[in-house]
Amino acid sequence: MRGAEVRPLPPPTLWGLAGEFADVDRFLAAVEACRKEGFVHYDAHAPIPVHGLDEAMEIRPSQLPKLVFLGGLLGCLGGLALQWWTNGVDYPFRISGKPLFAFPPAIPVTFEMTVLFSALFAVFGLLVANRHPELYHPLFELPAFAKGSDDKFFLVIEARDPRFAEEETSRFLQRLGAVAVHRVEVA
Amino acid sequence: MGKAYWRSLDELAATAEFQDLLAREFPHLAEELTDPRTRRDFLKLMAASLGMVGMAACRWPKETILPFAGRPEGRIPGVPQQFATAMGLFGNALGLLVTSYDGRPIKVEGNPLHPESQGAAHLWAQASVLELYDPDRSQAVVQRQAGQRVVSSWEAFQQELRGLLAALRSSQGEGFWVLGDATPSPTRVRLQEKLAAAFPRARWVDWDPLVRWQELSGLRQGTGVTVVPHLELRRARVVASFGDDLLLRHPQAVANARAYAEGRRDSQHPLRLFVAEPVPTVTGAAADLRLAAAPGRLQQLLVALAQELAKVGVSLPLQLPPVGELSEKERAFVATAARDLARARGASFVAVGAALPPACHALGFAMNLALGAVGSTVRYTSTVQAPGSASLDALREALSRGEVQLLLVLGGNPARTAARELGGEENLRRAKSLVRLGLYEDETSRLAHWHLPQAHFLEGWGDLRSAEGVYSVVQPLIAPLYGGKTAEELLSFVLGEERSGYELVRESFAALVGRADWEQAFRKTLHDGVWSEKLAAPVAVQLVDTGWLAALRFPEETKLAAWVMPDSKVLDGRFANNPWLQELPEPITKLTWGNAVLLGPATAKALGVRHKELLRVAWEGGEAVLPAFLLPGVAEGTLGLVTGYGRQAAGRVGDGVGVALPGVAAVGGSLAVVSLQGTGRTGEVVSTQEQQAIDKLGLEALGHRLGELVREVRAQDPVLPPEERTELRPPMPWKERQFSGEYQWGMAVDLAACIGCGACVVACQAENNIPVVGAKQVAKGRQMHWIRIDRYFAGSPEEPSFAFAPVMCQHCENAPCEQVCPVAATVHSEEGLNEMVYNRCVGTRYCSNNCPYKVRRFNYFNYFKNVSQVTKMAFNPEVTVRGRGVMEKCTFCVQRIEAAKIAARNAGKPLADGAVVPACAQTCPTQAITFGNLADPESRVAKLQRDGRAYGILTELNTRPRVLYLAKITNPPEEA
Amino acid sequence: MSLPAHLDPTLDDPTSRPPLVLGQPSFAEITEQVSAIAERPKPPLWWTVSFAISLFFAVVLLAMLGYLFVTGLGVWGLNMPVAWGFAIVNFVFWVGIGHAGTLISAILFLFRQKWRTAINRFAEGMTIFAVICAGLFPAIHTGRPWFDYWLFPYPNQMQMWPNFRSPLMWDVFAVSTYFTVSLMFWYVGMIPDLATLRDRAKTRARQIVYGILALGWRGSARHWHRYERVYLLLAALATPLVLSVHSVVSFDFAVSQLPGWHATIFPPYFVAGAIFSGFAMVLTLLIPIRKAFGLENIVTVRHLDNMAKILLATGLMVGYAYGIEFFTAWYSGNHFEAFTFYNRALGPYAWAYWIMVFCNVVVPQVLWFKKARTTPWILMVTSILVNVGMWFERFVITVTSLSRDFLPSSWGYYKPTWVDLLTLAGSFGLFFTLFLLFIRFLPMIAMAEVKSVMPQAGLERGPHRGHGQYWGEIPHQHEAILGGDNGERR
Repeated sequence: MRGAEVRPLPPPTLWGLAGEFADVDRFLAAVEACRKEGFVHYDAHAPIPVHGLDEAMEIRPSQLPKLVFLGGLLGCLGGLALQWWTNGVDYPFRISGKPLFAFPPAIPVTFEMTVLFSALFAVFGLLVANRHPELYHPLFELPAFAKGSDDKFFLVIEARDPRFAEEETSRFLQRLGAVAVHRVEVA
Repeated sequence: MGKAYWRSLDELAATAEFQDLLAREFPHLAEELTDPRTRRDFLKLMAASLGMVGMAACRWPKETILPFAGRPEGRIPGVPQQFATAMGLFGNALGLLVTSYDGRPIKVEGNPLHPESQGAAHLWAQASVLELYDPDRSQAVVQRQAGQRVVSSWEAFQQELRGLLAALRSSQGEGFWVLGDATPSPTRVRLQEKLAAAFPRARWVDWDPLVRWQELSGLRQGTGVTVVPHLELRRARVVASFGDDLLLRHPQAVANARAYAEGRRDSQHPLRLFVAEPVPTVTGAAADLRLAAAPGRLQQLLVALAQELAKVGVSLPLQLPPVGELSEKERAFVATAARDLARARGASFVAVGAALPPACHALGFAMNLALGAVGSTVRYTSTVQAPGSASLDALREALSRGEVQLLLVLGGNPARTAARELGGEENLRRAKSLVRLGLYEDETSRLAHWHLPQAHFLEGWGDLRSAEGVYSVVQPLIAPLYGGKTAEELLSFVLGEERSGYELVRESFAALVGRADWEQAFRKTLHDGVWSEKLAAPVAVQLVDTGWLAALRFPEETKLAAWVMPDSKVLDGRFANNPWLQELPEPITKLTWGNAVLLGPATAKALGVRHKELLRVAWEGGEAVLPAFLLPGVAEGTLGLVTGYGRQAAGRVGDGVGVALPGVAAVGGSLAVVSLQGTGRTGEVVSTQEQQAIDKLGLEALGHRLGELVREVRAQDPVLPPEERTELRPPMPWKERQFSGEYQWGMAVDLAACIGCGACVVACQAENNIPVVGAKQVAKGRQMHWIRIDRYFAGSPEEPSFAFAPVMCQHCENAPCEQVCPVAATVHSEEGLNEMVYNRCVGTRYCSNNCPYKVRRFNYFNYFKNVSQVTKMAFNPEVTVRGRGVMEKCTFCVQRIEAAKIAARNAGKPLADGAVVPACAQTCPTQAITFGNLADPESRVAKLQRDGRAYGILTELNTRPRVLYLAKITNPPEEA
Repeated sequence: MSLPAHLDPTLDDPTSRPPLVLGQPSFAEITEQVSAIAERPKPPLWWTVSFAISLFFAVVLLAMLGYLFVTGLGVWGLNMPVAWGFAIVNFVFWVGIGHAGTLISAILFLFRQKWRTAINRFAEGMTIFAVICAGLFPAIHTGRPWFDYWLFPYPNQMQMWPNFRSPLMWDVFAVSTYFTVSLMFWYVGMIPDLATLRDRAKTRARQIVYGILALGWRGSARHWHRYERVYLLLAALATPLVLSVHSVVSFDFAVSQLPGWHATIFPPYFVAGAIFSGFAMVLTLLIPIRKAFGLENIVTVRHLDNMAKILLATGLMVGYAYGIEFFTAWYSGNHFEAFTFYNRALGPYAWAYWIMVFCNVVVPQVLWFKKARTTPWILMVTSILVNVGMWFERFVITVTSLSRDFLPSSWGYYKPTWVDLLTLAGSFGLFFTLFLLFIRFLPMIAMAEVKSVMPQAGLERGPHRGHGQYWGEIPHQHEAILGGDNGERR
C-alpha cells in the first residue's frame, strides 16, 4: 500500500534506482561491482545480516565499542562514588561495627552500575549512530521494498550520485543480475 | 485551648453540679479552687476536674489532655510526677509509687520504703493501670427489677437505701448482712465497728479466695489467737514448702522473691529450697529439690516430715497419726528435708500451701515452733482479717432461710468466687434486696437489685495495713473516671454520715496517731507511702491446743486427682478483663488467653491422652471440657487445673476466655476427679513456647543447646569453669571504631535470681506502649512482648529441672540486624544502644531474620486500631506508639535514659550509677536485672559483667552483646 | 518424523551437522510461517480460553494486593521467627525462571550455539515477564510498601541515604539492572522482525504501531554492521549479568547469620538452580506452543534435545549442591548448622524437602535416555515437575531455616494463608497474561536470525562474524542435503 496513494502535482521526482536481487551471492557481487564502478551514494539493504557485505562495501569498523567502554567506566566509578559518599561521608552510621566504607560490600552495586551504563550507552549509541527512529525514508515509497525485510536484497543507487544516469545505471544494475530495477520516487 | 480549658473550668466551678461533685469527691478542694496552693493540691484539683468530665462523658475528652497554653504557676506540663499509694492483694498490702503524666496515672512502680515491696511490684500491680482505664468497668448505678436492667443514679439509690435502712434500724439490723472482700483497711475496720454499733444484729462476712483462710483458722486452732504469719525468708537457709507458691501466689510474694534471690546469691549461707507440689509453680521451678507429689499425698508428706524431724532431734509434742507407705522418692525427699531443716534450726521453716486444710497449717506451725523458726524466720502478728462476725456458711443458711433483708456486697465477686460456699446463684437471689458495689458489672451484679460502680484504688481514697502492720494510705491519682465510690464511702453513707473517702481516711489516721500533730504525720505518710509507726507488733504465740490433730486425716488414695490453684495471671478471675495479663505467657506453661488440663507425659500416656486433645473432666458437682496440655513435672495421676477463666460477665476482653470450673472452690486445692474422657477433638491451646509440640529431633537439639544457653554453677563456688566463659570479643579483620559516648549502656541478667514470674514483661508492656494482639495472633506466633522469658526443662519429663532466661534485645555491639537493613532504620548509637528508627522502617523484616536471639517484633497489623479512647490514657507519652508495618524491640528504655541524662545535665553533675533503671529492672521482684554504665568500671553492672558467673549467649557469632547473663545457682542437698 | 539418518536433527555424530531448520524452506516461507501467527485477525480458541483464565488470575492478584495494602502483612502466614515466607520464595522462584532467556540469547550466543536462534526470542520474552513477576514481590512484601522508594538512593529533604551494606540494596540494583538490560536486549533483537511485520502490515493501526516499534529499520548494510556489534556487546555484558543476578539474590541468604542461609556455596548453587528452572520453564511453554502453531520445523526435536541436556546437567549441579550442603554442615562441626539440615530432611518440613529432592534430583535422571529427551510429552512432564521442585527448593531454604534457628524458645511454624496461595496463583496469572499477549502480537521467533543460519544465507562463505559465525558445516554436506540447489527454490 505504501506509496500507492494517488498523489496530486507536482509529479514525483526521481530519488534513486533500486536493484532487486533474489539471492545473496549475486547481491554481494553486485554491491562489490557497484563500489568498484565508483559509486558513492549507494546503499545495500538486506533482510538478514549478509556476510562479506562489510568488505564488499568497505565499511569502516564501528566506533561504538569505545563508547560502551566509556559508559562502563562511568557506571563503575559512579557506583563506587555513590556508595562511598552516601555511606562513608554524607550519612555515616555505626552499623554492625563495620567500617563506614569498604570495598567488598561495594562490589555488587558497582558491578551492576557498570553493566547498566555500558548497556544503556550501547543501545542508545546504536540508535543515534543509525539515526533511529527514522520513520520516513524515500525507499518506503517503493512498494516492492516491502520484500526487503522478507527475502529480497536491494542495491540502491541514489540520484544525487555524480556518476548517476538513469538509463545507464539501470542497465548496469540489470547487468549485475537484478531480477528487477525500480525507480524510487519522492513527491 | 488551655485558656479555654481554664475558662470552662471556671464556668463549671459556678455550676451546682461541680460544687456538689467537689463536695462529694474532694471537699478539701472546694476552697483550693480559688487559689491553687501547692503543686500537689493543684494536681488533685485537676484530677477532680478530669474526673468530673469523666463522669459527664464516661470517656476522656481530648481537650483536657492537651498541654496548657497558659501554664499555671508551679506546674510543668509533660513533667511526670510520682505519688505514693498502695494496692491490696492476697489480703496483704503492696506499697506503690505511681507515675502521673498531666494528671493521668500511667505507670506503677514499687515503693522502696514499703517493706513488702522494697521498690518492686508484682505483675498485678503493673497491670492495675490498664484496669483503671478499662472501658468495660461499670460506669453507672444500675438497678435491676424483675430482670430489667435500668440505669439509675446515686441519688435514686440513696433514696431507696434510706428507706431500707430505716426499716432495718428498727429491727437493730436483723437480716442486715455485709459481705466484704477482706481488704485489710483500718478505716474499713473502724467503719465495721461503727456499723456493728449502729446495727447490733447486723452480720459481717469477709470473703476473698486469695486470703489464706485455712491458714488463719489453722493458726487460730494451734495458737488460740487470730494471727497471720509474716515470713522472714531472707533469714532462712532452708525452706520446705508443701504446695505453697511462696514466690508468686502468696501475700508476701514480692518480698519473698527478693529474699529468695538474695539467699541464692549468698555463697556463705546459700538458701536451699525444698518443694513438694502436685503441679509445677515458679516456686517449684526455683527449688533445689522438688518432689512432684500427688495432691492427696501432701498431708501425709507433711506428717512424715514431722516424724522424720523427731528422728533428727526436732521432736514435736504431738501424737502424730501413722502415715501410709511412702515411695522411695518421697522418703528421700522427707528425710533430706528434715535433716537440712534440723541442721539449719532457727534459720529454717516449713511453708504449708494455702489450699491445705487448717490442721496442716497448725502442724506446720508446730514444726516451725520446734525448729525455732517462730520469731526468727516466721513472725506472727494479730490481723484485721478477723473473719467477721459470721462465716460464709452462716450467710448461706440465712439466705436459704430467706432471712436476709439487705445484703451489702462490697467488692469481690462472690457469685463466682463463693458460689459453692454460698449455695449458688439461686441462694443469693433469696436476699430480699442485694446491693452490690463492684469495679465491674459482673456475675454478682447480675443477681443484685442495685449495682454501684466502685472506685478503683487509683481513683479513690483508702488505707491499707500490711500483714506485719505497716500502714499506708491509698492515695488516688485521678478522680473516679466513672463516678465510682469506695467501699468506705458507701459504708459511711450507710452509717448516715456521708463522709468522703478522704475525710474517712484522715479520721482513721488521726485516731491511729492519737496526737494533735497528726496532720504532719499524715502529709509525710502521703508522701512516703508508709507511716513510720507499725500498727501491730509481733505476737508471742505457742502451741496451746492439739485438738486439731483429730481433724488431720488423710484423703483416701484416688487413681486420678486434680490440683486446683488460682491462675497465676488472672488469679481468681478478677483480672480476666485485663488484656496485659491475659496475653502474658504463664510462667511454666507459657499459656496465654486461656487454661488447660495439665498432665505429666507419663500420665497422659497411661490415659491415652493427646496434647491439645479436648478432655471432659468431671468432679463432685461439676464438669468441664478443656484441652489437655502435657507438662513435665506434673505429679503422676494428677490433673493441674486453674480457676479464673471462663468468665461470663468480665467484659469484652475476658468473657468466654478459657474454661470455668463450676462448683470448684475458688481457693483451689485437692479435687477428686470422678471421670475423665477424651473427646477426640482438638482444642485451642495458645502457648508462646510449645515445648510439647517439638518433635524428637528438636528436643535433642534443645538438649544440646540448653547447657550453653542457661549455664549453672554451685552455690558454694559460684564461678563458671574457664571453658564455659566463651571469648566475648573475637578480633575483627578491620580496625575497630571505639565508642565515643560518655556512657556505655549494658545489662546483666542474673539467672540465679529470675523466677520467671513475668512482672518484667508486663512492666515493659506498660512502659513502652506494647500492643496486645489477642489469642489468634499469639497462636500465629505474633506476640509483641519485648521480653521473652525463655523457659526450659532439663532432665526427665517426670522430674524435670526448670530454667528461665529473660531474653530482650541484646544490643549487640556488632548487631547483625543493622547491617542487613536496606534503609538504615536500625543503627547503633555511640552509647552502645541498638536503636530502632520506627519512622524510617519500611518493614522488610530482614533484621529479625538475621537476629540470632529473635527478639525483634513486627507490627503485622495496626494493633492499636481498636483501642478505646479511655485505654489510650494509659499510653506513655514518652514512647512512640508504633504503627502498622514497622519493626520494634527492646530499647533499654531509651526514654528513661534520656530523661535521666537531661536531669543530670540540668543538675550539672554526671549520672550516678543506678540513676537509669529500665522498667523491667525496676519492677523485678528479685532484682535479677541490673542496668547501667559499662564505661564506669565501678558501676554495679560493670562489676556484675566481670563476675565469675557472667557469660554471653551466642557470643561465638561475635555479636558482642551488651547483655550478659549470670549463671544459674543451684544448691542441691547431698543425698540423705 | 522419518528422516534419513543424515537428516535426523538429533543425530549425535559430530562429523555431520544436520540443518537447524527442517524441510529446506525459503526465507519467504519462514517469514510467512512466523509472521502469520502474529497477523491472524482472530486468535485460536485455545489462546482465547487460556488468556481468559490467565487474565482472571491476574485480576485475583490485583485483588490480593488491594487486600494486603489495606489490611496489612498479617493477612499472610508470616510470624516471628518466620518473617519471610511466600513473597520471598516466589521472588526467588521467578527471578530464577527469568534466567533462561538471557542465558540462551547471551551465553549460547557467545558459545556460537546457532540452534539458539529458534528459541531465544521466545525465551527472552519469558525472561522479561518472569522478572516482572519477580520484581513485584519484594515491592509488596514490605510492611509499608508505600515507602518502598526509600530503597533507591535519591537525594531527599530528609537527607537520608540507603544502607549499601544490605544485600537487599544489592538486590534492588541487580534486579532492576537485569530487567533493563534484558528488555533492551529483547527489543534490539526484535527490531528487524518488527520491520518485517511493519512491511507486511495490512491495516493502518498495525502499520502505525509496528512502524513506530521498528524505528524505521530498513536493513541497510551500515545499520546491520553497527547492529551486530552492539548485539555482540550486549551479549558480552549480559553474560556476567546473568551470573551475577542470582548470585546477588543468593547473598540475601548467604550474607546473613542464619544457619541454612549462611553458606558460601550459595551463589553458584543458586545460579545453577536458576538455569535449571529457567530451561524447565522454557520447555514447559515451548512444547505446547510449537505444537499449537506448527513450528516443529523451526523448533526442532534437536532443540528440545539440547535443552533437555542442559536441564540434566544443571539438575545434576543442583543435586550436588544439596549433597554438599549436608556434608559441609556435618563437616563444619557447627551443631546449629548441622541441626538445620537434619531438620530439613527429618523435621516438620520434611515433606517439602522430599518433594524438592524428588522433583529436582530424581525426576531429571530420565533425561539420560534419548527417548525421554526427544519425546515432547515426557519432557513436558519432567520440566513441569522441575518447576514445582524448584519452587519448593526456595521454600525449604527460606522457611525451614527461619522456623528453627538458634534459640529453641523462639522456634515457630509457618503456615501459608489463602491470601498467600492466591497471590502465588495470581503471579502465574500475570505471567501467562503477558506471555500470551506476546505470542499473539509479536514475532515469537527471531525470523532474521533463523534466516541467517539457513543455507540461503550463504554460510559456506567465510570468514563470518556476528550472527553468521562459523558453525562447522562441511559444505559438501550441504550439497548433499540440499541436492545441489543452494537454497533457491523459486
